[in-house]
Amino acid sequence: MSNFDDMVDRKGLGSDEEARLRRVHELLVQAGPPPDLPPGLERPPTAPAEAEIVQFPLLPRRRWTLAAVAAIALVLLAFGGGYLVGHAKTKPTSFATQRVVPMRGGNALALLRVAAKDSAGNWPMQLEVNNLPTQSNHRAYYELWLTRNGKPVAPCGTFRVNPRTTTVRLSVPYDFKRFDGWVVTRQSVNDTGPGPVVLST
Amino acid sequence: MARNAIVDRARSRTEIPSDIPDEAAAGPGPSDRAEQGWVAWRVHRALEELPEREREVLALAYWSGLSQSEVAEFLSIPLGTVKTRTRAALAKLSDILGDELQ
Repeated sequence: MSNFDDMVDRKGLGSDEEARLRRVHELLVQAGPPPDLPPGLERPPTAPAEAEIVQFPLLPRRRWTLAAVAAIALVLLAFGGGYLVGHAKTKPTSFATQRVVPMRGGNALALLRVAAKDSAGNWPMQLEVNNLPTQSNHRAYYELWLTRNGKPVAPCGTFRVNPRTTTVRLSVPYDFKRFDGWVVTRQSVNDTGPGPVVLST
Repeated sequence: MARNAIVDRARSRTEIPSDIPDEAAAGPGPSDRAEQGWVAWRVHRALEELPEREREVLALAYWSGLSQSEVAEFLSIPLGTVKTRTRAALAKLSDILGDELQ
């Protein structure tokens, strides 16, 4: 059970403020973890606002040439900008996390972040894995599964890891309500089913 | 004729649906469960308003079973930062929840 005194640095904390934080702490303990699917995820996407209709008067004939040149310049500019952005060495874009699922196993830890379902019904996920042993050979890999009654039943993607931290992005179209947890298994190309579990929720 | 059949059938039902216990159950009643559900819903909604880095510290600290040191190691941040974020997150939740704290 979470202990307030271990969790919060009470240095300089007034008695009223401490009482307030303790009350929030109790509410968090009482509330328990969010449901598998936060209601925010289940809300249907808000209907797009009715598009504002803007009517442009047709250009006079003599300006069509100028407009065409401007359009071509704009396309070239966009293409060049896109090329530069696409080839720039940047960190992956941030991930709009809606739900965090921690996983553990031995010395290894993982954080599975789940974003909101897209309009096609896919759940984008980002898995950050720490301290999972690197693969013994090039035919070995890891696999993320959804579980039912604790057993891996729905594959969610495969990946390999670096010695320390590895971040991979996955996506699944499953209805999470039908499952009760997640596991990561160690796999080999010869495996026909889930291998030994190395991380679990 | 149909009306008479319905009335006859209703009159013939004399059995008690099930045994009624002598004492009320000790668990929380419907109103208590509704109250708990409402509070949990409010807390979870309030959590969504926190910055992601504070929300994940709370999720790990409260519901993953990780100690504060393990949370720090897992997120690769100092233990002091975990405690600072936890305190800041609780303070923000307190502001958001407002009436729920009474």
